[in-house]
Amino acid sequence: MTNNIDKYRKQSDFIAPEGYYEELYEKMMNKITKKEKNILFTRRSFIYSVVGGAIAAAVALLIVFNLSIFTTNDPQPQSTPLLVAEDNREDSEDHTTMTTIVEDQESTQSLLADNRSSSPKERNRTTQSNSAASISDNIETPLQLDDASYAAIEFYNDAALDNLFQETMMDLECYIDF
Amino acid sequence: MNHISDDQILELFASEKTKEKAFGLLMRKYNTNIYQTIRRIVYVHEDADDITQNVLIKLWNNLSSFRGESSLKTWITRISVNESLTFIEKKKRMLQLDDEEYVTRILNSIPDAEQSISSEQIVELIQKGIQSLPEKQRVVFTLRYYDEMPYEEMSKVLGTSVGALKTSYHFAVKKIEEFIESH
Repeated sequence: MTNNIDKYRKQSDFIAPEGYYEELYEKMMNKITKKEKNILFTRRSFIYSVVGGAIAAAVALLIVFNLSIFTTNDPQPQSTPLLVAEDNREDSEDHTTMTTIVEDQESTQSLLADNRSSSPKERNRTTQSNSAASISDNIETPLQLDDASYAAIEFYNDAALDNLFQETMMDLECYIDF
Repeated sequence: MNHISDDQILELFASEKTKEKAFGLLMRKYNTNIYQTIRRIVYVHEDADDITQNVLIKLWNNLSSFRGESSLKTWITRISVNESLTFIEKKKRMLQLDDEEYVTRILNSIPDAEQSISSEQIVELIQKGIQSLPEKQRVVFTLRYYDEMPYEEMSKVLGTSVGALKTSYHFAVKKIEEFIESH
């Protein structure tokens, strides 16, 4: 009987349905390709999420610390008015600033009075020589201005007590340059 | 496609760029072996197809860890056999069948499940006889009978001594003969 079994060795073996191996090949190649893509996608998204999270945390920390700096610092003025650039005042409270502005206004008025007393020719010469000088220099050496400049300075002096004093004086500087 | 050696496949598989190509070559070379080994054990094509895919996925995941202690074919056969036996155990548990009930179920399914096989009655009886064997004996019989696998190699696949395998095969043949005579 064993011989009979041996005789049917090939005949009794199992045959896969037609086209099965090709189909299996395609199916498996698709599976492993998708699997690899998923692994890559998972890796990338993990990296992105970690990096993104770190950046977000850093930004959040910066914002929190900046806010805490703003809220705890003394209200130190960021810049002193141009006309008091030479002043080495350490006290920066509001009333001091206002005093400074008033003093500056007074000194400007005295400058204007001096300028009015001098002749127009002299004033012109002085204006030309001083046109490139900075405001701080102008404080140390009295300004020599023409009539138009006078008018402008007077106009701006009226606004000197205003909170926009700094800005207006910067505008004036521009005007003088022209 | 079979002219490509196992070493070449493994070498290609080691590189990320050629990994997929290597696996394609491996499938072309071993698909038939894997499927037939499994099919002889579980008999039903649909089951064999599921197990074959599982085996291939396992190969894809673990081929890089293959140490070359046995031949690649032996290693693949071992995975196929283990997967098949695990599948049968799971199925029996799921259907709540004991060994005898499971064999009866398989034998009853043979005329309907197998369409491409020879219509000769003897062939059908051999197949039924094989399915009536206990799982491990079935594995021994099919590896020896169809693949003509040497006992030494079979010993590596199944982790059983050569003597025990010879005895097992002998008993399997006897059982099938008795099965055919009784039908």
